Amino acid sequence: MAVQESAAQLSMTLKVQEYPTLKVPYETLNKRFRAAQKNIDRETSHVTMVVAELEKTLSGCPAVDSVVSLLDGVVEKLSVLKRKAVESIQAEDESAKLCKRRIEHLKEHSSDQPAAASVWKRKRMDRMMVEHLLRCGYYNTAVKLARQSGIEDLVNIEMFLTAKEVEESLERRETATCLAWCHDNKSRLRKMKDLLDPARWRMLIQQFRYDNYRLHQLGNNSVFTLTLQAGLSAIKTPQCYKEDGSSKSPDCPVCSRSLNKLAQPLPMAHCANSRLVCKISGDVMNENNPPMMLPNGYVYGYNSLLSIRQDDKVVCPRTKEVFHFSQAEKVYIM
Amino acid sequence: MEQCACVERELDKVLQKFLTYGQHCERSLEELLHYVGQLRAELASAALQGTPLSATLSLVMSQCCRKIKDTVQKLASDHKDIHSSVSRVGKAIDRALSLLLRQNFDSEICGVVSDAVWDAREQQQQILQMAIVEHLYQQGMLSVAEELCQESTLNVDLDFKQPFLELNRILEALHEQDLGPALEWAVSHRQRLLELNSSLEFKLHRLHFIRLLAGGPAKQLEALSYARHFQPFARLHQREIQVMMGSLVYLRLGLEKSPYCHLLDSSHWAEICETFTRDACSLLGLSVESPLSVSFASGCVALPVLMNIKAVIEQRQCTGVWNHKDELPIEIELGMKCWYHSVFACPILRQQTSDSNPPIKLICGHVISRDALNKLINGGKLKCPYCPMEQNPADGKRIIF
Repeated sequence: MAVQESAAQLSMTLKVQEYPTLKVPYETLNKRFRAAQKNIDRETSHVTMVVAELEKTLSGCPAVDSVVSLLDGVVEKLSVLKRKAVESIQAEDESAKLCKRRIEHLKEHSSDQPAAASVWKRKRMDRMMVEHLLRCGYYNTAVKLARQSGIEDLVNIEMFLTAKEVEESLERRETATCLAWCHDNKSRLRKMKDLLDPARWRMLIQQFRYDNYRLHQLGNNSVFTLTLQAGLSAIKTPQCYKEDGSSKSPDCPVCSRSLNKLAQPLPMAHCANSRLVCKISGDVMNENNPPMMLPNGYVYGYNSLLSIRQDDKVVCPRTKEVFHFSQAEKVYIM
Repeated sequence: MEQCACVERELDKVLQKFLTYGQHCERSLEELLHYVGQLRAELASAALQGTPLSATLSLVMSQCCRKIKDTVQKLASDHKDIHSSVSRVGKAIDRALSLLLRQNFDSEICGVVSDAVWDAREQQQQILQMAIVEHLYQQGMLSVAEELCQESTLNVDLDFKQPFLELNRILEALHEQDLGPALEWAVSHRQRLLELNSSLEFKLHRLHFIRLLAGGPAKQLEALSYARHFQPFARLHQREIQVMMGSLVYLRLGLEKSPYCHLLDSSHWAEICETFTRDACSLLGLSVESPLSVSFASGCVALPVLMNIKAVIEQRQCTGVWNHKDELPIEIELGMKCWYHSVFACPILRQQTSDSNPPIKLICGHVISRDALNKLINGGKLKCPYCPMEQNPADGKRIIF
């Protein structure tokens, strides 16, 4: 891989990028826990109610038949409780297991095997791209990419698809789905200061999106976009934007067509130390390959000049001027 | 990462609690249902029909009621007890993963780089989508790329797509262990592959030969006859050819049991796909890693560094320190493989040179920026800060890296 990332660096980046990866399924776990508690409490109170009724009847010398029919009621409520409890626990357990799968995946970043590490990095990029595509509204692409990369469990597709349903219904001027969403997330929305204002539709959709992101503690830009911007800046140099295009490098990502346009408004890399790269070979120029200046002022690596030397002459690749090999002067960079 | 381990520990505790609670809940409710069921059966027996409830039975019923209430109420409160374990998971996540990125979303921190610089302009969004499409093609994810083109209504020229479509076709064939298309391609690009010092063609022939060998003694004649393909490679790959011819001896015995069993390794197939991809990308002038991949990986290194420095700047309230938004505030180490362009930082003024302030070579061979040179002029003469050879400022020569 071109970019070197040490284990320590991977950890640092993980801290900065992966909050949504863990927090979103955790919030689902939390929601399902609360739903489970509510279900259990509700069914428990139903059971308690019918039992209270039975106790009341017992205190008044009842006939066996009436006791039997009340018992039937108790059995029914107990069965409902059992069923709902089992369902709710299964849902909670599922959420917790999803959290666990994600954290197990994140742990793999520190694998010693280079093959496993590069697979993890590739998946990382795919995960961030899926989230970015979901934010842009390209749902089919996102789902396809997630499937092909084998990362379906690791990305928050469901959250965005739910949001999509709400937004689409709002576009149809229907409030039902949105209100249901509000109800569903009511306890957390209450903690937030702003609530949806049902007056204006366009703003409503935007407001919903904003609140949805804040609810899940996501920002307005995808992590992918932020990472990409930082990365392009770290590579960008003035040579990538020379007007005549003479300084472009075939390997430099910022010199490539699309990324060149994207990186234009971004800051350049900050370089405190010199580093010289031979225009002919792309190799570093240092003590092992000293920089040599031709009489026209252009500098190339010694090894490259050797390789293009013919009959003791060299042709400057950029100006086509011909010089003697001996005319090349060594240049000293501190 | 220690903090991740902490989250995992809390998760494991929660999972254990769910398991235990679930089993307990189911069991105790079943027992309760069974108990009540028995009582009901007893009461419903023909003997008692139409009679009033006896005192004994009434007592038993009261006890039953109490038991039911106690059990279900305990189930409800036991579940509530799990709550603290669940919220501990959330707290562990908050501790493990950084505050920096999420806290500042409202204030667009990630205007460490630029304030929402791509948001406003539709055009930039389209270009980003295009870059993603190009990346997907280069990675061989053709159907995903097509889908994105459709969803974002982007048009990619066929010229751009064509080589990737062909490469993908060949790779898919290789995955099916069909060497034909790859061989055809290798032969038609033979000259350029040789210039690259690629041994792709030979490796393809070798794999075909090995596959024939795997077919057992029946394939012996065919294998021998195929061996003539090795002839043009005799000089460069002598040793490997000898190994293969040597393995013919064991054909009857079965190659798997011979010292040549390693030839049958399935890793050869994975390796040939990689070799093909690498050589094909070289021929196309592409790097194996797409520009988007490299940029993203670079961002993964840069992001935490920039977040940290922005936090430090804000904390110490010295926002004036980084005021030229056209350059990052700190150097990002990406490794030598990412040195695509020459950068000369004047050792005197510690600034990158530019067209308006180019690097100048002094007579002694040392290089400084023009601004530095002008600063060092004393009485019409110049002393090199390193040698210190005295010289005429006009003798300095502008160099271009």
